[in-house]
Amino acid sequence: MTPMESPNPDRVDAWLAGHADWELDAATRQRVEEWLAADPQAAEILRDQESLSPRNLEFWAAVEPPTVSNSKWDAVGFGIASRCPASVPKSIWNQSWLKAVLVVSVAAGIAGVVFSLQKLGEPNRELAQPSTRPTIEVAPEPRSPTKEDPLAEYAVLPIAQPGEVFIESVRGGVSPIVLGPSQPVPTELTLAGSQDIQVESIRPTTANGSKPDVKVTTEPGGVTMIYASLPQ
Amino acid sequence: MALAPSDDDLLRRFAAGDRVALEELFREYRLVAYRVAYRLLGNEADALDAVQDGFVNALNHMDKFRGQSSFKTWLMRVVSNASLDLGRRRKRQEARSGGQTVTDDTPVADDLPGPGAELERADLRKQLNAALAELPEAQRETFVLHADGGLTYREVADVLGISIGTVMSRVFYARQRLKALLADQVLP
Repeated sequence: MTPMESPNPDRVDAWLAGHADWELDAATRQRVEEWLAADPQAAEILRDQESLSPRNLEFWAAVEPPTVSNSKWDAVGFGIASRCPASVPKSIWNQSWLKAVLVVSVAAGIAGVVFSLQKLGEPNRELAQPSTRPTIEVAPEPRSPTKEDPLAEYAVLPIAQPGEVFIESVRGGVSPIVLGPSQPVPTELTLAGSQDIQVESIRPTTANGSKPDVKVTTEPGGVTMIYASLPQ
Repeated sequence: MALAPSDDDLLRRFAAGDRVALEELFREYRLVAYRVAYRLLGNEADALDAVQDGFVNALNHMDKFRGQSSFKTWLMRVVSNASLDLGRRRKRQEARSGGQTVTDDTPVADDLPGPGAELERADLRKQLNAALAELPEAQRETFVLHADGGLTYREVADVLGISIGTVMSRVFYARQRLKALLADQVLP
């Protein structure tokens, strides 16, 4: 029996429910029993209450919900486990620094995704603009370019700066320095003839296959056009 | 003989990431949670959904529990709320789709009544479900928490945040109404 501190239903006949469920304290139960002895109608109501009380085991066994199969219980259990993450102890979670770290991490992640999406929507600057470095202006605009050789009037033709290209090979004859084929030029390009440049030093191909390290200077003018190769 | 771990032990282990503790809690309370959900919803599939939602909400919001009552009463409260929420959603869906109610009137594979007593039992259960559906929500919830959830008046009062006197009144009126609705049934 559960002790009743304040059995105060809005109608006294509701005490019959408490009586049927053995939820009344001894004093209240005694008063209800005196009432039941004097009032046959109350006794009938009590029987109705008792017929639907959890103490009527026969009735509740008769209306027991359908049995759930093990496979369905397994599915429910799996659903619960998958929706209850491996728990973070509250004492740790409640620390504000941990929340701050998580908030900053999430914000950084979102910013990264947004930035990546923006980059995807833009043309590839690396490919479209081979070099953003300033070009050294060493020659005037050609005054009368000919159809045969539009670059004929250039004494020195700046192509790239050191660090931007590597020298593919060094040959003899009229085309000793060849650039590429790689960025920033798509095909092999002759830079200068042997009368125009002077090869200062050549380091042979290394054991691991790196390209030869070539140092050249241009003639005339002494302007360094291509300084060194980059090991690949 | 080793004693079964208490709910507090299991909850502490669960909070530390022990999945076995979660399984033990589920095994301990799944049947009573299912009884309450089934009686509030009237069919097995919805009841199992409500049981799952109830366990998940109860375990993921333990900060609101704070150990002021037993885990069982906390779980009953959350399962009961989940069931009533689901019931309301079903009624809205039912209203939109022109009144098709999901009940156990069409027996599922594991609910096929056998001859005689089983058939009678399934029929009585349906009658009770139908009668319960006629009750006001507050009365139905109070009655089911006591009768199917196995909670005392005091526990029901704690779960619902009402006085014991109100629990007693609701249980009384619910039974009087059910008795009238089940008048043609021979109650044991």
